[in-house]
Amino acid sequence: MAFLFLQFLNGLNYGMVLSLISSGLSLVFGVLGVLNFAHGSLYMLGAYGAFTFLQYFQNLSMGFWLALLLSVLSVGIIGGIIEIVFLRPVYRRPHAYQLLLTYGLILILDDLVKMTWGTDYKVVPKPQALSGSVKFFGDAYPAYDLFIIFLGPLVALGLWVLVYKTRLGMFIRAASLDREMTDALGINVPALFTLVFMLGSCLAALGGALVGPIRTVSPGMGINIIIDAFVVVIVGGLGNLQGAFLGSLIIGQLESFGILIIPRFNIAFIFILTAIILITRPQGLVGKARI
Amino acid sequence: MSIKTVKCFIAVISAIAFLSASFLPGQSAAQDQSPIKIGGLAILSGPLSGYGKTGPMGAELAVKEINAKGGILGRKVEYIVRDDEAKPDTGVRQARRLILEDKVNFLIGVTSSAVLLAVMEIAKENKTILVGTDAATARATGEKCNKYFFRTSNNAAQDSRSAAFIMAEKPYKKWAVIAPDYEYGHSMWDNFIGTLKKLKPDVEVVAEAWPKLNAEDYSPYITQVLQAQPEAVFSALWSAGNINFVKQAKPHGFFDKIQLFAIGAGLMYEVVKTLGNEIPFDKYWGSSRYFPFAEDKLIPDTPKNREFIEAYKAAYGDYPEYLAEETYAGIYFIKAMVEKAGSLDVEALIKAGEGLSFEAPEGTKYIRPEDHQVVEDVVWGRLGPSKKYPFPALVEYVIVPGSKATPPVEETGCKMQ
Repeated sequence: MAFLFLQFLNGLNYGMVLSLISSGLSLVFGVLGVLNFAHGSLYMLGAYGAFTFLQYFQNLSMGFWLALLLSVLSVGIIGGIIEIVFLRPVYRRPHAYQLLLTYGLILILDDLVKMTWGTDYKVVPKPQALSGSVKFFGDAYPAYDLFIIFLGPLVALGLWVLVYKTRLGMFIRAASLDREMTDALGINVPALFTLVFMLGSCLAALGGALVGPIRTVSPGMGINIIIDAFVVVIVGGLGNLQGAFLGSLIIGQLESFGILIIPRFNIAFIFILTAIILITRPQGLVGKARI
Repeated sequence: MSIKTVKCFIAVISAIAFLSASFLPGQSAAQDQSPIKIGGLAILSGPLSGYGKTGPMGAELAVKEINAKGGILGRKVEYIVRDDEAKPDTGVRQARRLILEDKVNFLIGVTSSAVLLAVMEIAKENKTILVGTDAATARATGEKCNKYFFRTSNNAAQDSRSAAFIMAEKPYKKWAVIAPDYEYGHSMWDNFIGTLKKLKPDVEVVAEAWPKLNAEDYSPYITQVLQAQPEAVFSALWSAGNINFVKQAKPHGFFDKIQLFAIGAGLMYEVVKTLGNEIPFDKYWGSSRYFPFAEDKLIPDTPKNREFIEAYKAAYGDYPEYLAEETYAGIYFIKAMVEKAGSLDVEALIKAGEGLSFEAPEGTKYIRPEDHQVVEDVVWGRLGPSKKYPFPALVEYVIVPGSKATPPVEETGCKMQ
């Protein structure tokens, strides 16, 4: 029993990391209509940002949180620049242009990371308060992983409130449904798009900064996660926030329990599920209903 | 066209043919002064590039040293390296380019086992000698062996057999494995547990965890292994995989109960440097092809080893990764082979390479003539905090002699052609 519970927590933990990444990916697609391949690279930048800022605050007790915050904000700004400089000119072009562009951004950002930080693995230490373990039925579970499990739903909830309960969210939803009409009503849609892309970038960076202490920070770390994030948004429904959350929960548990059922083929589970969804319910579990 | 023109044409052609034929000896004399070209294949892009580039760094250091001392047989050495991206098709294309366009005399390197097996075919096709300095698949010097391929680094069978000899002396009976789910991981485990069961029949396997290569989240596997309550775990996780695993396993209480034996990457410099004092020193044994940094002395404590580490630090400002040492040694193997053969004739070189012994930083390397596989010592050890180095160093170690670690020729399945 205890074992199954721990395995459930493992799945939840990975699911929450995925939820941070895929909610940003889905938000950007839902509003801007751009499938951002480079989302994983922003996640990577978030991890490197946390590593770098932490160098300056190593002696502060709140150092980790300060580094996390600064990293998220800086990646948000970088996201804003990317949107204004690169994405704006291609919104009205066919989708293939946007795919190629964001794919090109991966290569550029990867190389920039290599030039700035080198190819060595970087280590982000855990915050002191969360470095220990919590006991469940006598078995240890990492406190930091538990923290991510609690943080994930909070971020998802915050995002939901922002999009569905605020005036800004109303504008965002309006723009995602009809750009021209929203524009005609006097809302600055280009600025809104930049804001949404920045928000998406911040979410990716938050994911990256949070996994820094439990994974190695290295160039190319974005590629691994982006594949799982794409699976999540396909399963949940592209451009749909609830779908991204639900998809993350499912993929997290599949990763976790899949290895117990058929140990060697757990990767296959995920792709079988994706294939089934694509064939029987191409709009995803929650559907394509825009943001 | 009149007959006269044809005759004239033939005359001109034969004159050209004659003239160029008479220039040929002159040309080959000029060629003797031209550099000996060595073509390197390494992973220079993607997530593994940080580790992949250390091979060429070692090779370039060796080439610089050799050229400073007058080259090989009086000829300069030139090293050209290309990115194989750890993909067999890219490796094949780059190997062809090196042989046909760059006209290299030797190929060296190759990190991924899948790439190695593919590149071996190209080398054989073009009768070019390939010196393997990294990829560990036993098949390359086993059932797939051919006379154009030499390997100057240990293979999976040697690494894991040496592990079995050490573990047979330890009290652990209940074992589990965690290894990447591809050729390398499986051949490491099969060789290890097969040998261990022969040496110690009461050994029992209680859990097997096979994450995919370069997985980042190991928590489900950690919980799965803990549930089975093994006394010891054999890990063939690689590079970042091993770092992630150790970091994630610790707060799960893994090291409170279980002894970890990390083969290959356990003592990889990159891994030791990155994990630093996060390594659970009492519960962590590891091996590597080359990790000479023991707290009491270098392993082996030879001038050659000291000079190599000093030269490497002077050139790159860091300690050498094992791959740097292996590729460095591979270049010196080529030097020894050419000097023994006295020429670049491929058949003569192969003869010279077979049974050759040469000195490398990690000690004497002997190339077994029957399968072209190096026979050398394997070091396993336990780390501790270091006063001498900016990273943990070995505080306890066992050296398994190459003769013991290497399976007999009959067991390798190699039929040399």
